Amino acid sequence: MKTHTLALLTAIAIATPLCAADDLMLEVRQVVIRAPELEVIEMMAAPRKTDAEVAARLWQSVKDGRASVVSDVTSAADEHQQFSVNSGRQVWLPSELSQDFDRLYLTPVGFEEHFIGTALECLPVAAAPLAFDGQVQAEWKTRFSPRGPLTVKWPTSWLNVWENDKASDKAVHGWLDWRDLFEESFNGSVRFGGGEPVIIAIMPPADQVWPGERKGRWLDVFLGQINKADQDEALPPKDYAASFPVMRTMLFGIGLNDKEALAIMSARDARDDAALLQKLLARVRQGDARLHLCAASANDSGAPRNLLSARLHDYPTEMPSIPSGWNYMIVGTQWQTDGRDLELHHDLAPPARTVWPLALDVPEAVMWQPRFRRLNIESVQPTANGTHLLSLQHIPEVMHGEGIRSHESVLVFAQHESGVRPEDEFAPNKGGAQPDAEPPPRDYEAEMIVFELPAKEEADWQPADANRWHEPDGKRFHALLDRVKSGDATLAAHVALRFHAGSRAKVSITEDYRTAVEFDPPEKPDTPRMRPTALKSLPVGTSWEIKAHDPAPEDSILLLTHAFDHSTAKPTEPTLQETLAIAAKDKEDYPGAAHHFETWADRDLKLILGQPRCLGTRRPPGVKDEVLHVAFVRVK
Amino acid sequence: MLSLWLGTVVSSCGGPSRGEVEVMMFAVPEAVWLAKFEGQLKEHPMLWKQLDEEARAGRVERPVEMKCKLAGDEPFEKRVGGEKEFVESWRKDGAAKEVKQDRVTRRFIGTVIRLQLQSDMREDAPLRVTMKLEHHIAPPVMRRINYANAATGAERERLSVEYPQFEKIEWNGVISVRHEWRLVTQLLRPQGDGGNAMRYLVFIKRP
Repeated sequence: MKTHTLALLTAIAIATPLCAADDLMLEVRQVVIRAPELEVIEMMAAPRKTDAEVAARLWQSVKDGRASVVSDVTSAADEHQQFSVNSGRQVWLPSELSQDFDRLYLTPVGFEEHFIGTALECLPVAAAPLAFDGQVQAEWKTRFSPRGPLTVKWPTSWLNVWENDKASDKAVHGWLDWRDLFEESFNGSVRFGGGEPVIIAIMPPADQVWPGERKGRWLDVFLGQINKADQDEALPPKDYAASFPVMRTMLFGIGLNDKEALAIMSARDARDDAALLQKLLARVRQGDARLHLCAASANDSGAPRNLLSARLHDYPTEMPSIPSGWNYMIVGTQWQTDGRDLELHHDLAPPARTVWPLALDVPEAVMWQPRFRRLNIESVQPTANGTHLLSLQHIPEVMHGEGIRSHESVLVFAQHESGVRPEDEFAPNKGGAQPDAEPPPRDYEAEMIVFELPAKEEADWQPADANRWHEPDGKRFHALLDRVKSGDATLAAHVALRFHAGSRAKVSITEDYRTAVEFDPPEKPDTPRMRPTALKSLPVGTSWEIKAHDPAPEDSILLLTHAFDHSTAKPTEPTLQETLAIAAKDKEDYPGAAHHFETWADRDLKLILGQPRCLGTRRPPGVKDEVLHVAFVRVK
Repeated sequence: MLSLWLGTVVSSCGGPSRGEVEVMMFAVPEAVWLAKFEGQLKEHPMLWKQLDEEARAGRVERPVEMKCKLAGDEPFEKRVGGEKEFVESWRKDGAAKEVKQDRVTRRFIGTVIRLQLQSDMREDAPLRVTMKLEHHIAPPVMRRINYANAATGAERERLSVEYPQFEKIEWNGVISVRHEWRLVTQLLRPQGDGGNAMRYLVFIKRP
């Protein structure tokens, strides 16, 4: 497929000088339609539905009042010429503040300009400019802000006010107004055919997850279209659905009960993932499964692309109780692909917040830091047409809190349509594999499960010794599955990930917990005040990094190198009293929050495909109960 | 509408000739667009003609009209509007509560059209120009941010500084120009703080 695209671009490049004098005059349009989430999913659910068919239904929804046009831009474009068009507001926002600590004045001494609106940059190249048939390949870069900046109030406190050139007992507290921005963007190569609309991207509105003020759940559908500017010559009639097949990847993230997800993974045949996805989407419609993520992107033969829909949340970093430096984190969905590589970050809920009291005698003096709660995948995207499970992530107990449910696992699926029809997958002249092309690396699925059992069972769950690695562990594994089903055992962790041999892959579901590790002690020894001045980030949750080799695929043996970390208890920040006690001993060794986690890691662990293998037990640190964790791994 | 305070940008420089181009912008209330234009017209000259009729009837505005002769590779730039000062840094002196302007920058507010010939001037070939268009569709809006973080109520509002927000459309690229009107860009400004939804359409042609 990649070779095919290169050949097309080379042909275009060679033809360019011949047609430069009379380049095609084109018209490029991008419309963003906001429609109800489930209605869009229903439109997209049927595989191989053309983008034009979906677009027609979306326009009907607009006409019927269920959907609305939130952005619409059209531009002239000459072939081979890049244009840019912007429509919106250039907003100045403070970027640098001068600090008068004693009066808590934070005066803007620098501003940055931010764009709020719709921006589109496009470079169109026609496949056959001299006999234009509607085929255009375009570099497409677009940005849309669904709303203006949102004011966020941050507590600010100064604990050592000086008066008349000497330290006083006073502290001063107030609120700083800062701003968060919102952005939806897509950057990639897109193929257009026959003047028909193409779905460039689908993503949730950037403000859907947070603040989530809008009623209902929505998806923003970015439609692109490229036509000849003058419509006097009709395009040659063609069966466009056949000539310009769908090239799209769609992601779904569905949350359901963790026991049920475990049962699904055990009974599942990967060839039936399409049916499984449809079954789960039906349950989302019935309300007994939760849709966390839905996004789609035009794909063009592995060309790099980047999709983002997020609130850009600014939070203070340096001296965070009276901010002098800021960082920002995206809260939403970010999906990047380049060749076969895929990276996905998705926030499951708005960030939680850690609050530090700063002064025993000034209770209103506090400091905040956000705790971002997200799932991350770094792996491969499928190349074969069809629906594939990319990952499963059990939400660990330590992450439970507002917006995060207990006992939930999130399954992420990719519905991939490569533009090559199944019957042409091995026909090079129809976009299929070239005869001399190397076969793509084989995809596997790795799964790691940690069960929680009574500690007294420790002797029963030891791993087989190294020279008995090939002896099946299935019986013990299935006994544990049955115990989870009956409620006699629980799931502590469960992750699965699609990967290909020879490449590193990582899956994680974590809360980014910031803990204070340096403090500014009180100016006067008898003043019970301390403020954090440096923070360290702890990834609290579950993460698994793997790399595997299949030296002899015909023997169904795989060598797995991996590291699995699982937090077993929520970190607890030392109290202000405890911090003051450390300061009173003239020690500046602040421990920060304790992070309890367990690890399983192996190098070149031999696995038989499809066979679970016991990795042994751990006594979970930071857990008072007499429990035991036992881990199993399997690769299919 | 910006044209109400700037005056419509109307510029002309000499009679028709080989390097001459005309640029025109229409501002169309979205309600008028949906009722009379959406999905109706594809041919640009016909669309321009109907918009022109609507403009003559007063239902549509023409905030930009410009005719200009381009010669060789000399760039042409037309600016209509004026510069305005904005404070980009504030300073607090001593014990004073109020802050003072520290650094000021000047920004042009209005319409800027920059054109430059790209291709040779064969009579039978389309004229190709590089065009950069910037048009503020509303006067700058000033926002305020307080700097006295411990202050509350009216005192907090009083101890604040202002900063601007500009609303504008921009187009930048290379475009072939014919003897018939060609749509350069069409943009929807959704309903919001700035008022009702509007469409902006920019056309170009050789007379």
